[in-house]
Amino acid sequence: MKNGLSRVAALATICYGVALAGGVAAAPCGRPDVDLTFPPNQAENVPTNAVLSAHYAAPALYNDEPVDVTDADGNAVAVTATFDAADSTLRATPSQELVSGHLQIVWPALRGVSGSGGVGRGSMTSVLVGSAADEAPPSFSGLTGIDWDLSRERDPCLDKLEDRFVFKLQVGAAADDLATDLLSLTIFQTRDPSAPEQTGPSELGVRALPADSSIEVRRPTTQAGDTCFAAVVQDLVGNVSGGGEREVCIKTKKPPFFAGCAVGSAALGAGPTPSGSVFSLWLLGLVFLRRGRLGRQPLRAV
Amino acid sequence: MLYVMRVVALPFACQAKRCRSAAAMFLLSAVACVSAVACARTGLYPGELGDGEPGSADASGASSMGGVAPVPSTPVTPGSPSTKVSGPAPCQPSPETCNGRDDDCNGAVDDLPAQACPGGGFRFCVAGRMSECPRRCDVCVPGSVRVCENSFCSYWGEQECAADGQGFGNCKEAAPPPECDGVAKQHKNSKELEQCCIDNGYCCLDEHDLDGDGDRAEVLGACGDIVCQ
Repeated sequence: MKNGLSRVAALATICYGVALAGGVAAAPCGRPDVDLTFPPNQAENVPTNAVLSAHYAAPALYNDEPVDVTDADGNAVAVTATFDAADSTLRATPSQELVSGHLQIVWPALRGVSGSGGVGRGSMTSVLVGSAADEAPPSFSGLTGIDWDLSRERDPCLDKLEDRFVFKLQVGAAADDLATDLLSLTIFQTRDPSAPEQTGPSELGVRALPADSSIEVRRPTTQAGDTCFAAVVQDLVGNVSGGGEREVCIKTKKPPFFAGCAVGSAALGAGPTPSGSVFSLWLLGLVFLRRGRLGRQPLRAV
Repeated sequence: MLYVMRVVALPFACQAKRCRSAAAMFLLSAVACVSAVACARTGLYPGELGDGEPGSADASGASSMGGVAPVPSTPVTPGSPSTKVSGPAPCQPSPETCNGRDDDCNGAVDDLPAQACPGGGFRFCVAGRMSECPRRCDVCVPGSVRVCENSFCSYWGEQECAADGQGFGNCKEAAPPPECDGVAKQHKNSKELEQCCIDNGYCCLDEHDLDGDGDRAEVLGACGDIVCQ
C-alpha cells in the first residue's frame, strides 16, 4: 500500500514537473504574465521605505485591480497602486513605512492589450522587511564587456523561426547600503544600427541584477552594424546609480556570415574569413586519407 | 605566425608518417597555402576573430563610440620652451548635468535622478545624454495583428506581431471582411482596398502611402492596440 502511494506521488511529481517545464518552454504569445518583482520573492532585509513593483511581460490593461499586501499577522498593509503603461510596471507605494517582519504581496493578473494575449498570470511574493531604510543611492561600475551571436528560435506568436542578435553583456560591480539582490538593472541601447539618427538612448527593459554578472539582450536583425549598450541600477526607493556613462560597443554582421570561399576579396573585419573553406578542405583531406588507409588494408575472408 | 608555421609544417609531418595519398597531400597543401594567405592578408588567427564575427569580443569603454575619444600621446621634450609639465587641473565644482562629466566633483559621473516622463516611465542620464522616454514595446504589441495587402487570391492579409514585439511576421493571406470583399475583387491590391481597410476600423499597413508622407511601413487606422506609443 505504502509502495503504491509512493509510486503515485512520484508519478504526480513527474507530471507536475513536466507540466511546469512545458509551461516555461511554451512562452505565451502576448500574455502579460508577471515576470519580475521588486523586491524579489524570498528577499530579506527589504528597506522600510521600499516601493514595491511588478513588471508584466507584455503591455497590459490596468483597471484598478488591487495589490494585496498583508503582514505576518494577516493584517492588510495600505498601499497606493499605480500602473505605468510605458514600462508595464505596477507599483505599490505603502502609505507609511513598512514594519519589520514578513510581508506577503499578491500582484494581480492583468488583461493583455492585444486580443491574443488574454489574461496574464499574477504573482505572489513573500519577503522579509528589515529594520533599516534605504538612504544612499547605489553605486555601479557600468557594463564591462560585450559579445554577440545569432539566435534562431521559434516565435510563439508567429509559429516560425525568428532571427535575433543576442548580446551577452557583462555587468560590473554594484553596491548599495542594503543587499544588491534588491537592485534592478535598467538596460539602454545607446547606438542602434537600425536607428542611426537616434536622439537618445532607448530603454530596453528592466532586469534583476544578475548574480553571475551576465545578461542577454535580444535585438532584431533588420540592420547590423555598430551597437552600443549602457546600464544603470536602481534601488527599491528609486535612487539611481552612476555607471551609465560607460558604454560597451560591438559591430554585428547580418546573417549569413559565411559567404563562400572569399580568399582574395574580403577586407579586414568587413567580410568573411576563409575559415569555413579551410575547414571544408581539411575535412575533405581527412576523408581522402581515411579512404587511402582503408584501401590499403587487406581484405578479410568472409 | 606560429599558426602559419604549424599549418605549413603539417603536410610534411604527414609525409613522415608515410601518408601516401596524393590527393590528400594536395588538399592539405592547398589548405596550408590558403591559411597562410588568409592569415597574412587579414592578420586573423584562430581564436582571434575580428570584429563582426559572432563570438568576438569587441567591447570598449566610454571612449569607443560616442564617448570621449582617447587623447593621443604626444612626446614631451624636456627643456623645450613650449612644453608645460603639469598635473591635472583641479576640479571646479558646478551643478551636475548630463554630459558625461563629473561636474560637481563628487567622484561620480552624471549621478542624476531619473526624470518622470509625461506618458509614464522615466528618463535616465546614460552615455552623457538623457534617454528617450520608454515605450510599451519595441515595434508592435506582441500578438497584435495588422492588415496587409498581397497579390495572391484574396489581396487581403494579416501580419502578427512577434512575441517580443520586435517586428511583424509575414503577410499571411486571409479572407477579406464582407465590407471589403467587393473592393478587393474589383481593385485588387490597391489604394481603394487600403482605404476600405481603414474605413472599416482595421489597423492597416500604409503600403500605398495614403497619407502622402512617403512612409509605406507605417500603419494607419485603428491601431491603438498595435502600435507602441
